[in-house]
Amino acid sequence: MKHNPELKIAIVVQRYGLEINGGAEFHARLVAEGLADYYKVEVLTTCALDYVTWANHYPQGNEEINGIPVRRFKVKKPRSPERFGRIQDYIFNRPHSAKDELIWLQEEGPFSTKLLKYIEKNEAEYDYFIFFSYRYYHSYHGINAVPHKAILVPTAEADPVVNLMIFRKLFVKPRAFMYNSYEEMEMINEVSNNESVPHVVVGVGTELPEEKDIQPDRFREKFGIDDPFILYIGRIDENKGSHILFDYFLRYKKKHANDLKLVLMGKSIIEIPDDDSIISLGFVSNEEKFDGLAACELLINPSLYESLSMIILEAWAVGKPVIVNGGVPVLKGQSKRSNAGLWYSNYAEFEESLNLLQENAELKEAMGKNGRQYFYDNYTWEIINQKYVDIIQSLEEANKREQA
Amino acid sequence: MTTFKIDYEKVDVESIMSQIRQRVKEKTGIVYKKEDLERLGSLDLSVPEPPERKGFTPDLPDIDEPGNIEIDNEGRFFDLDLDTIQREEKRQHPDVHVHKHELLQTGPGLKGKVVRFFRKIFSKLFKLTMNIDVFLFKYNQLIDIQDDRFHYLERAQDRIEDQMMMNMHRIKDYLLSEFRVMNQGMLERTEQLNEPIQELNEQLYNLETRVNDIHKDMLTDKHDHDEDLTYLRFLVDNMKDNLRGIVEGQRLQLEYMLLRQRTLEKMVVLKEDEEEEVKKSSDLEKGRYRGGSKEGEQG
Repeated sequence: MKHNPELKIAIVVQRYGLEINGGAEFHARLVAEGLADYYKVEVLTTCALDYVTWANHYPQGNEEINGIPVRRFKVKKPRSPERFGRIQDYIFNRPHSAKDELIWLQEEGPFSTKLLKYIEKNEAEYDYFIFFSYRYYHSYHGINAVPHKAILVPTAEADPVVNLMIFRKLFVKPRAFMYNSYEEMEMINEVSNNESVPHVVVGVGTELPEEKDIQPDRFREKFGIDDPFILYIGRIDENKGSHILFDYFLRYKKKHANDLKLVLMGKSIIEIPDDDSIISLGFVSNEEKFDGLAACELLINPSLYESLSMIILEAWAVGKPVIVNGGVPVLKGQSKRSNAGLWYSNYAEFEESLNLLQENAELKEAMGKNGRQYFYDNYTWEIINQKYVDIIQSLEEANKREQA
Repeated sequence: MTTFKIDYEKVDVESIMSQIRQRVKEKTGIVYKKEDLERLGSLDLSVPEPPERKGFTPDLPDIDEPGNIEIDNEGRFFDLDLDTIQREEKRQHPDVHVHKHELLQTGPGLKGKVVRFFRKIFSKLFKLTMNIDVFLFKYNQLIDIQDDRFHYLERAQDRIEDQMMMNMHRIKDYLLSEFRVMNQGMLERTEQLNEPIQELNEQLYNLETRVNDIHKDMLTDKHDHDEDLTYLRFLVDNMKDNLRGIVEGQRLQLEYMLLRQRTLEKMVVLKEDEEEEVKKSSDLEKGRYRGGSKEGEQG
């Protein structure tokens, strides 16, 4: 579908910056930079960098990041994690009212009234507002301020927040939805019956290096890893299921006297077991990440909550199979659709899956090939940008029909 | 052991996962017989009621009221800085003694001269009847005794205040220890429950797999498994209820502990210590009075 380059699109997101290299915010930046080839794109965001407190970090005002104009607004009150924890505990565990949920939302933040006032006041300047992450203050009140121009990228995970009353009502308000996965769409449909709202399952692409620049030997040499290894990339945290991975992997190593190692890339929040078979590299560069992906036997994702695992897509892009936590519908669904991943629900299945892929090089290669195909069929930036363009164009046509 | 059958040209991960589950079943031998299922289904996983304190009726807050539960109890106790509570400074008392020169003091003017003239005349006459110096001496002596007693009372008050501060420190320490003990208990209990819950989860998963297998058999096989299937479903539901019971039990335990914590804050604890200290203070005061005025102060 052809696009109208005169349209002005605002990307509204809780945080924005080059320092943020993961999650919905990174997703928003990639989408903003992708759509800039088609439309006039501007980012509306806060001055926050820390996602726990939303404390103001960047100066308020305008700047340009990778050619995209960015308007930043101050957060009026940073989040108190202790108070937020108490309110959240109450909201999730006790009968409460919609008003209580709005109090929770204000605590959830980022509480930037200036951002919302700007949206309300300057609504006419923009043709569409693409809101990222339904669960934050800016999305809820922003969508309610400009529902007729709102497109929501919910980035919803299977957690209790999605069932809150305020969001069940919110999900029928935007003009369109851009879902990350079919599982996410089904979950939101189930809580809000919003099937009639225009939508598309789009996901997000990734910045892949040139194939010639991905060098597994360089990784092995740099980190001195000669043995075969499985790779985990991401925050090392209980929410990410890292403790279960450690438990399962150490149980596996006790039973199987082989050279297999578990290599971890990412910041550690919890303690990493002191064992020779577990190697933690901490933060690594993008180049090292892709070199490591190319060098590993397979990628493992034990996460307990995911709306879309970008790291799995990256593993598939370099032709590696994955093993994921089968308790997360999105991970299991992606693995099924791609035929490039196995999943586990308990230790016995983890062990069997790992053994099978370890011992069967032909299967590993076939699944890697499937993953690569799946990635190039669905997650290149051309395909993703086109899906955004198509939905915006269909809304434009609907507007014209309405005016006529 | 079942060997994998994989079409490498057209990999089907669902088929691979089904073969993996079959192998797990064969390896672990977790294929439940009817009696195993009955035993698992009838496991009593209910949580015992918390013990009640004999003769103790706590003044409890309404837990259902929003915002009535403080999570950060430990932090609150740590923040309570008893050392900043200061005793009131000792009061300076005015001199109430009566001195002869003050008693007879008059103004410097004509009026004063007249008064002094008449006093000279009358004092000689007055001294014929009584000696005023004796009254002044006795009056001042009485004031001294009163002053001493007052001083002793102040000292006693100081000591009682010191004792109260010490008791407050003890109460604070006691509550903190109690909180830590409960917290540790909670952690240990969670740790203890973790394994059986995981085990139950795995059992539940295996049961569900079994149910699904029977269901698949029913679709392909002519045999009538209706009865088995209903029975298995009943057991699965029963296990789920049991698991929910564990979680609910944990929640109740936590609530109970929070209530107990709040109650402890309101309780007057260390009663025996307090009584002993009161007795000591009382003995101390008696001892001081027994020794007379200035000696008592030094004692």
